[in-house]
This record gives sequence, structure tokens and C-alpha cells, in this order.
Amino acid sequence: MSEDKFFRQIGYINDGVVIDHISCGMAFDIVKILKLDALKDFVVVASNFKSNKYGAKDLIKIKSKELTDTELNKIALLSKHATINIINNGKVLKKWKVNLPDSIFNILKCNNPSCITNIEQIPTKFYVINKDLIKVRCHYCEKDQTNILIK
Amino acid sequence: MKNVISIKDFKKEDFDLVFSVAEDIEKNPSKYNKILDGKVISSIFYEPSTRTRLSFDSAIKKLGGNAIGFSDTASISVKKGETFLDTIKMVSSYSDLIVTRTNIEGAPRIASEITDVPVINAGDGKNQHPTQTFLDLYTIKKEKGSLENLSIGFLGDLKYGRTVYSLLQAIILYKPKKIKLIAHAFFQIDRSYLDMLREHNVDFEVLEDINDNLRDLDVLYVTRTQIERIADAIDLEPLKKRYTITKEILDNSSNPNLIVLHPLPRVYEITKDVDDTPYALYFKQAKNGVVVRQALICICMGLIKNE
Repeated sequence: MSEDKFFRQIGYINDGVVIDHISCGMAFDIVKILKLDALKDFVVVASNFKSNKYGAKDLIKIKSKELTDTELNKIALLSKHATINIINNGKVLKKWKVNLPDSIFNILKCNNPSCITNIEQIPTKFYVINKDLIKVRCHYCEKDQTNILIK
Repeated sequence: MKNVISIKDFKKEDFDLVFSVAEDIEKNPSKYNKILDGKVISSIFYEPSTRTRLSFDSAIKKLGGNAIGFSDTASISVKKGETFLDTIKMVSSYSDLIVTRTNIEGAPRIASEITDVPVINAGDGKNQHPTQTFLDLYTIKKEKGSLENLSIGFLGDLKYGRTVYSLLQAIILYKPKKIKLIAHAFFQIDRSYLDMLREHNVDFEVLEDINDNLRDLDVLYVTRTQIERIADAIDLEPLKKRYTITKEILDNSSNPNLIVLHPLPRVYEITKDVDDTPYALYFKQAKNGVVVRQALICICMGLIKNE
């Protein structure tokens, strides 16, 4: 049986969401940050799967799940090439590539220890200044950051 | 313009307005000496300050206003653990404008968002010191007639000196002819600012020594090593002589029109023999802080009518 067929059978969902083209190795971070391991319905994670486009990719299938905007933004931050497939009655109802918004609210932690957001309880706000490099700027302390930390 | 938080918030028109009002205040002080009648301005300084605090106090008094506040945290509710946000909310109810200095970066920004009264950032850690930049530019404009197309050298601590960052962010609006960044490698400017200069097509050089690099400059901006902001241990002694400006160095530059600025306090970086030369603008620069801060207060409080 091919890898592809094996994964389609073992990870079949009739309704839910498939996060495809996740950067290789990032699926486990996405599971952790979105707390997918705490869900009641099943989650299938495949890592280092063959990809025609990127060579290798990760995949996540989640039964009966709708992703919020916050969750979509987190996925975009962790894996900018990921695609979201909404599955309904066994068919792909909708499909799109994740896209980082221009501003990100209360998802990232500022990596500047002197920033007010790390000293007092204030929701963070960042501007995305380079979507390719995922470079963000803190609205408060104005520091540019590429090693992003998701709260 | 209601708040003064970061130089990045301002356009050229905003700078021009501040300079125009500051000039008018200098020429017609009596026109402004009651403009803050009945108003209360709070200065809340969590970090030590001489020039900035005193010049704000002077500015407020010269405008006929009342100044309240604190300049150290030793005997106030901050010591009891009161947060910066709570302090701002409390102080807002006592005043018509807040001036704040703190080592917490981004604090003035959040302050401006949680209060209806105007907020002026008098310095937030390594981040911004916008009023210093306004007075630096005002000084340069007064001496040179214009801010356009100037060659400006920055010397000293370009890494920890927030006045350098703020001034660079502003001067790029005036399309400088050339920027020279003269510093020891340890104190050289953050790379992100070189990217900023490139994005704005500014001709710049990163240099490690004074040498013959003053000859073609209009302005030399000298900064003190910000020891209080340096986490790493470093021996400053070898750097002192290498980055100290003396009268002899200035005379040898064959550049009689060069002006030397420094945000002060000066420690070793400019010798006293420079003080009485035409190069030395740093005391005039500090003096200009009063009218510039007067202008900023008036504009932020909506007291300047468009004529």
C-alpha cells in the first residue's frame, strides 16, 4: 500500500479540518500550541510526509473541528506555507493558504524583557513587517523580532 | 498631535509645526506666559534626570502652569508595588498632561492608550527619547538654516544611546547627504538601523575611528557611553582616548563650519577646551530644550491655533 493511500485510510475524516503543507517538523508545535492533544475527537498527525511541492511536509487532520482566527494566525506564524482544508461529508468544502494579517493581537510574547508587556499584564500587539521572514515589530517597545514566541 | 511617544509617529509637517511654535515662543515669550493658567502638568520620572526634568519644569512654569510629580521612586506608592498603569490612571485624574520617564520600554505608549490626557515620553529605556530629538533638530535647523541634505556624523555609544536611534529616525525624513557612524565595534549601531538607512537610500559609512572623518561633516553628534544600560562587562579605559573630541581634533579637521552636539551629560567624550569654540553647540542645545518642550506641551494640549 502506498504511503499516500495508507494515510488517507488511517486518517480519514468525514467532517473536520486538514492542515496540509505544514513545514516539516512543525506539526508537533502546532499540536502543542493549539492544544489539540486535549481535544475529545481524534487528531491524526503525520510528519515528514512526502511532498511534491516542498520535498517533505507535515499534516494534521482534526475531526469535527473549526479553527478560530487566532488559531489560524498561530498556524500561519508557525508554518507560513500551510493550507487549510475544510472537510464536509468527506469532501473538501473550502481550501485556502494561511495568510498572516498585518497586526497580531495577544498571540505573541515580546522577546524584550524590558517591554511593558512582560512587566505588567497587557495584551501584546505586533505588526508584521516582513511576511516572508516572519519579522514582527512590538507596538509598545518597537523592537523588531524574528525569533517569535507564541504565548 | 496629542501625544509625543515615539519619533516614528511623526511626519515632516509635525516637526515643522513644533519648530515654528518654538521659534514664536522664543521671539514672543509674553504671548505664551499665561497659556497654561490653571493647568496642572505631572512629571513622573522613574529614572534620574537633570536636563529633561528641569527643562520640562522650566517650560511648564514659563507657560504659567503648575508642575507636580516625582523624580525618584524611593518614597512613593511604586515602592509598595503599584503598577505603572495604575499610577498613570491615578495621575491622570490630577493633571492635564503627563510627562513620564521610565526604564520600561513601551510604557509611555500604553499610558497614552489608557488615559484621555496627553502623554509626553521623556525617555523609555533604550527605546525612545523623542523630545530630545525635537530639540536636537531644532538646534541644527537654527544653526544651519535647514535640515535638508546635511552630512551628519554620530560618534561614541551608538548601540545603547537612544538619542541616536531617535535622531536617525527623524533625520531620514530630511534626506541627509551622508551619515557617518563612528564607534568601536562593541558600541556600533544595531544592524536594523543600517537596514533602515538602506531602505531610505541614505548614503552611510560605518567607521571605527575619528581619523579624517570630520572634514566633510555639517554636524557631529557625540554621545556618552551609557554605562547604566550595559549588561556586559567592558573596560572603557582604552576607548576613552580613541573616541574623545578635543579642540585640536576639530581644528585639524579644517572644517570651521562643523557644529558639535551632545545630549549631555558629557563625561570624557568632549574635552573642556571645545566649550568656548564656535564648534560647541551642546549648551545651546540644552537651552533649546525649554522652548521646544514649551512648544510640545502647547501643541499636545491643543492650545495652538492654526493661523
